[in-house]
Amino acid sequence: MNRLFASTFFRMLKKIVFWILLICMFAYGVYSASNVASEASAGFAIDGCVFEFAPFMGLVAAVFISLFVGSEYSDGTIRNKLVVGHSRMQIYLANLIVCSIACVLISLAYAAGIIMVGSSKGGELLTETSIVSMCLICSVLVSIAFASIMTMLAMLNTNKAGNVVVSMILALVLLVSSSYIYQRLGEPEMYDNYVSVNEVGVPTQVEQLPNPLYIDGTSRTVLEVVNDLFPSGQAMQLADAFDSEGITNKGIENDPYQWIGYSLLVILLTSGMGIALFRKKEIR
Amino acid sequence: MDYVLKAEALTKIYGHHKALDNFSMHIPKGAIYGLVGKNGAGKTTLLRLICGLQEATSGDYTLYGVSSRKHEILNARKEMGAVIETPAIYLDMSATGNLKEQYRILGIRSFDTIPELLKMVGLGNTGRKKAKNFSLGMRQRLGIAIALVGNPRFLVLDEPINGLDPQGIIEMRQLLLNLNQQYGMTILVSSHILDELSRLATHYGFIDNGKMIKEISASDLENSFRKSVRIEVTDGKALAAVLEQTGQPYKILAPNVIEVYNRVNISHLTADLEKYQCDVLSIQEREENLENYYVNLIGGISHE
Repeated sequence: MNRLFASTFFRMLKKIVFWILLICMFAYGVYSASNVASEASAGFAIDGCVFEFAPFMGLVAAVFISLFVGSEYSDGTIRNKLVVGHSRMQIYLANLIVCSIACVLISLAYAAGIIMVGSSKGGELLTETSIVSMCLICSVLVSIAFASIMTMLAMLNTNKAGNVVVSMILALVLLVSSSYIYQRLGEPEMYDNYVSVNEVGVPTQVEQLPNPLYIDGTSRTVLEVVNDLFPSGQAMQLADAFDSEGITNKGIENDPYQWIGYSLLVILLTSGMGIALFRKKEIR
Repeated sequence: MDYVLKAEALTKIYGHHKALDNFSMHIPKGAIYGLVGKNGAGKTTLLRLICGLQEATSGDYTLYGVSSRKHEILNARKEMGAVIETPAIYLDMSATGNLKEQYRILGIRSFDTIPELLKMVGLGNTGRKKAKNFSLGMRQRLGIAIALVGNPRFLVLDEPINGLDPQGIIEMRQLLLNLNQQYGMTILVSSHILDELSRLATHYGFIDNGKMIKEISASDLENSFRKSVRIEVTDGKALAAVLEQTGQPYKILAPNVIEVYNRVNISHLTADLEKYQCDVLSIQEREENLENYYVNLIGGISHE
């Protein structure tokens, strides 16, 4: 297993796509922090942009893993590992661990960009370090959950080009659906209906009406679970959890372990299913 | 006799197609075993099973006496190298880079032997050139170099001379003979090029429709080669009629060319043909070769 891990890790370091994504994420971090810095006159909070990268990790994982693992099939090199007696589980796990490390490093490159600009221009974190650390752990697990899903797809699909397309589509579907769910869950239960306003346009009589877009009951419970369970859902919430005044999403602050549990569940389920199917896979 | 690989009643079914049907095989230690069969006969399927790329539907094989059904087969495979169908190489890496990968996969820490290995397969001067820019023959050589990493005791090669130029074919033959004779490596080679195989193999297995038709050692095969006489006449039908009357075994090669697998009394034959006003144009004595043997064994028009 160590031998396979070493071989796969060295190969990852030689992949141009890994370095391109790493540099792009770093540049995005620099850009996000610079934007916040330019809007503030002196001493600014970087909280609002710390986790902006999270929703993009699905796409990043899709691109990197489909190309990295896909080349094992397109070049046929997976055969070299099987022929010399490595078990399929070892091959799968070596790929999963290295892809997870790659995704975490790419996400940390974004954080490095934020820290570089933040420290040079006097930016600071308003939120407690313990909460930010917990969110950082959640974001790392989100990256690993994305890596786990994309590794499963790449290990089970021998067609590299086809898998790039399938992975990208899945990442986009997850992103769009989670964005929609998050938006619908954010709808207020009641909205203000202005009955009358005075001559300067200030409302004098306001009544509260139920919002038809508000989802309640079982549907709300299900969507909340889905939103917390899917890495894309967690990523959307993380990206939106902070503003210039600190944390706004009390859900993360109150129960971060639930998110960690959901991410671990996704990682275990997809990896377990991936390994079981890969063991039965016929390789040409 | 010690066998490196033994297959018994091996069956592999893809959908409704039986690629291997109750297949049996015995590869003695130290042999160069030539696996001969036409396209779709089941050669590559067999190699895929042996290398652990696919699982048999039923039946079993043993590698160094370890059953394929046991977990220990993974350890037995550590003594094995293979090139199946296309060479398995990272196209975005150099020859040295590819070998380093395989060294890491096998847990070999020192890369000192890489130049020697590259030289052995004729890729000593490729430098930093990436494998995607290699010719088919160079890729084939690199694939074999990767299979040789870790000095395996059993080498499996699927069409190893595909894409090689004449000089490359000679070098590859020398390399395989050298590995077999100097290092005692057992080699399983599947090939369509029977003439080349006949210069290498110490044992043969003939496969057709997923079944092992015959296994034979090269010395036994040579002893079984029949002498024949190839006769060209002006009227092939007349010659066939004469041979039928005298009960000689023969095979029609062309309308007026017939091969007779027996001693021929030329005086009697010409006298008999005279009755049909048929002239003898040429007579050649021949000895059967691997190609004839294969054609006779697997199929062809014969009147024996």
